[in-house]
Amino acid sequence: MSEPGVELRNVVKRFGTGQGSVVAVNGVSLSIRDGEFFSLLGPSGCGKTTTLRMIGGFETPTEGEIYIAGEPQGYKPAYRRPVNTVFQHYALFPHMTVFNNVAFGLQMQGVDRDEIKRRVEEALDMVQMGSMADRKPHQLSGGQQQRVALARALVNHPKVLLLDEPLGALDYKLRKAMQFELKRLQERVGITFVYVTHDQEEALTMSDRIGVMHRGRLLQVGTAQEIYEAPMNRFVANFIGETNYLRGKVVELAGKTTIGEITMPVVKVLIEPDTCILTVGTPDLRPGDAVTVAFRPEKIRIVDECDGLETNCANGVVADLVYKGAATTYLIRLAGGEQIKVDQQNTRAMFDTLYHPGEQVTITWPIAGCKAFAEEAEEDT
Amino acid sequence: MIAALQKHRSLQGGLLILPAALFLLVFFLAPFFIVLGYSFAERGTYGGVVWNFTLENYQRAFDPLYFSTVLRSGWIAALTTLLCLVLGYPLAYFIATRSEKWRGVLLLALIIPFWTNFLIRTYALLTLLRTNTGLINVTLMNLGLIRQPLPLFGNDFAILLGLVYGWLPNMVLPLYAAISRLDHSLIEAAQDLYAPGSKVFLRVIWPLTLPGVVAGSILVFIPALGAFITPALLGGGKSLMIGNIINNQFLAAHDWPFGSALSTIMIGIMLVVTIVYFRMVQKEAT
Amino acid sequence: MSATSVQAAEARAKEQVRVAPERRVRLGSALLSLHSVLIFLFLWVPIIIVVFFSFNESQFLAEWTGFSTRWYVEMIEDEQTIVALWNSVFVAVVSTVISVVIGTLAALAMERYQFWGKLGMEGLLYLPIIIPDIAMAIMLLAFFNLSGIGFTPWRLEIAGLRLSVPYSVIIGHVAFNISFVAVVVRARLADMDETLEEAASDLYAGPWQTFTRITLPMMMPGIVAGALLAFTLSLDDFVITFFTSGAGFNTLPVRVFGLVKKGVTPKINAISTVMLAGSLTLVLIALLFQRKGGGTKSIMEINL
Repeated sequence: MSEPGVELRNVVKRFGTGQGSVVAVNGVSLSIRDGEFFSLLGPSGCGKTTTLRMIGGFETPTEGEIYIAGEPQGYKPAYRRPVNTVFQHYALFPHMTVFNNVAFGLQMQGVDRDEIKRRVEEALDMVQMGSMADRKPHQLSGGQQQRVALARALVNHPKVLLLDEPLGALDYKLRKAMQFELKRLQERVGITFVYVTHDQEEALTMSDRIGVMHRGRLLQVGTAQEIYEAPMNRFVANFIGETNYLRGKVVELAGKTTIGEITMPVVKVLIEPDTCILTVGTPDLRPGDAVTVAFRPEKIRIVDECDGLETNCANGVVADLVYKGAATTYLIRLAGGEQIKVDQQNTRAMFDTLYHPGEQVTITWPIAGCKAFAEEAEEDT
Repeated sequence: MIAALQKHRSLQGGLLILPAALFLLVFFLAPFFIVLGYSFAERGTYGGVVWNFTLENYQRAFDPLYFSTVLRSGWIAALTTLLCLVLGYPLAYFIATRSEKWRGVLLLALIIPFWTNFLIRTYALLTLLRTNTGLINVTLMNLGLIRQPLPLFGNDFAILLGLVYGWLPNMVLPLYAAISRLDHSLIEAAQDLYAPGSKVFLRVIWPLTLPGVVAGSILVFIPALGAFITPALLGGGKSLMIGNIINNQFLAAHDWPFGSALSTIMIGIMLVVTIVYFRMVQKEAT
Repeated sequence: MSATSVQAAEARAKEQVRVAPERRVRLGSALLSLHSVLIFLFLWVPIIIVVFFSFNESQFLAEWTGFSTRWYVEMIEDEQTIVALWNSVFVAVVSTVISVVIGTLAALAMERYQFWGKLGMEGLLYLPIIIPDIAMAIMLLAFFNLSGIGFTPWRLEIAGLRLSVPYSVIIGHVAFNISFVAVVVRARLADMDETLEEAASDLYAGPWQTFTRITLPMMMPGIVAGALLAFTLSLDDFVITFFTSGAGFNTLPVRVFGLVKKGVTPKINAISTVMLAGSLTLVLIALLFQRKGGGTKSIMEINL
């Protein structure tokens, strides 16, 4: 078991003082394993970039401590930390060639000329930019600049690599290609990557684990599957993927169920006007609590009639539909007036959709596929 | 010590600004207060300064003899500003709406005269405008178009012309900056909503370029009010502005207190006009 | 009424609507172009005429009697004028060097640091730019007179000529140039991406190394622009020099003013042409630097 790559203990960052102060990071504790690809995911303003900058040494925590490879970093400025950063807009030095950009960190560390030459060439080859060593940054495309920024960071063999939304400025296709390359690179080099993004698809595809942040707090840490299938609160459920919501009241507690390695309680909830469903719930729920039940469109099936025990059942009318080529999304209006999105793969080749607006349908979904959260003050998402 | 310096950013900053702060405090702020002090002092018998508090310098400034010049200077400066605005706005608009390549050339054609010596440019006008030996009058008379020389020199007309000539670029450059920053989609949107050209200008273009108008106006009004070279060379000794009177008081009449009072009044006018102008524009912008 | 003829009539009506406003627009833009051409002529013609008549045989500016360079010869042989030229250059060089150093440090302080009194300093830096020459000139005169310093001259010899430059003139030029240099360098600093300095720090560069390897080289175009501006303003200055120089000291503009008061001759045109050539050269140098440095702010916009 190696030392954790990066560890944060109760880190708080407050900007300003007194009345006008802003708490950007509010008590974040986190343990990133050595060699892990870890993503910090959240909407803009959630504190993920500030957290990254504190690891890098560009900001100091107001409270708490940051450890890199077991060592507390304290007030150490960036140039004393064994960490390198790939910045959002690459921050390549415009007055230096690609070669000198990549060599910069090595020069600052006093590495000798021949060694620098060797390592820079090695780094540039690794990102396939070897032929561009004499160009200046303004002569490169966005994707090329990004690769140079990567080489410039990696050439220093840091313990941890920080990436601040590095793919944000690239177009869609390039971004997809770079995601793949970055992941492969990380596996090859074996360095801990801490990756900040607001794009959930990006985080889900690339990361070993994800930390979801919102308003300065770390809401949940887990693998992509854990975050997606077992969100701990309404924000995480809403931020990742599509979600349907139904309001209801807890009728009674109904045992337990296990998803992966997590065991969760099951509750029976009454949905307007008179439908009862069984759903996974948070441990704090009691009979009589008002809850919101969240479940994903792809978990729902439209059937002729309900199975029975292990699934939930509801009746409704097709209100609208959206044909998306590979799938169709149906908007189903339930008896209580709420509207549910249902995703159906278009498995059969046909020039018509399976169901039409106005049709009566029955929908069903597994108990483990939905989750009840206590009603709370509306979070904006 | 070095380590302490590194830790405290504000100390570093303070050290960096120190040379400039000291220099300007000693050679700008102190002189300013000296002049202010002089304006309340008495003139000594042989031209020195006697430090007795008095308001007579300011009272004298309101004497019709001098005050008329103050008013006239203000009037000339205001007229200069207006003319520069009327002439400069279309020019700025023209340049801003040319293609990238032409804009560079045109701006250069504007900048070069601007960066040449003000005295030389005024001298150039002098050689053109003079009554009996100026190029314009001599040529027109030789061509038989006029019999008597035109009074283009030694009067307020010459001064106005000289001031507009000298300070027009000061108006055009900020205007150009403001116009070139206009979002053209706004103009297109207005046109899409049936606005004719004049309305588009009044309701969209003018309000949005107002900051440029203000900047340009102030950059013209202040030097025009404080003009010295232009009335000295083109005014023919008869037309004078505040600047010339101040010059006289300091270098000829040796009445430094009075000259200081005039200078303070001049700066006061500039301050008032600038503030009033800003407020007016702020109101119109909302 | 057949369908096609109705369509044709509609098309014709649409055509007419499209043409009429276009014609109005074309007329408007023609007037605009004419106006602009006239203004450019207005700005350039007097200058061109001065240059033109500097080569006039005759001493009367209004009649052209032939091409001659006699006035340039006269100018070169006029020792007072040559001394004035050297004085101008010397004062410009010295005041530029001093004001660039002070102004650049000030720009760094204002753009990158917070310190006590920053707001006041902001105002103090802008005042010399906004205040009219004559006010500043008498302020300096009063100060030098009261304090008793400044009129002492700096004696030196250049090119066989003995120069006697009062410190007061140099101080006066530095006083207004600091602000101009600061404005230009600040503009450049503000434009600079601060993440570059963070990137340098991320790559193990300490604060001093970051400054010398990253910040300073990137500031260079701004510093050069500021220097050129200060140099030009110093060469061109008349009013402040006039008041702070005491008796007998001439820079070129002061000399020209004195000559004009005595009487207008084409020798003044010759001097003017030389000064114009000098200004032109400076502008061209500035442009060359701008293109090479790839600076984003053009020098013209600095003036705004």
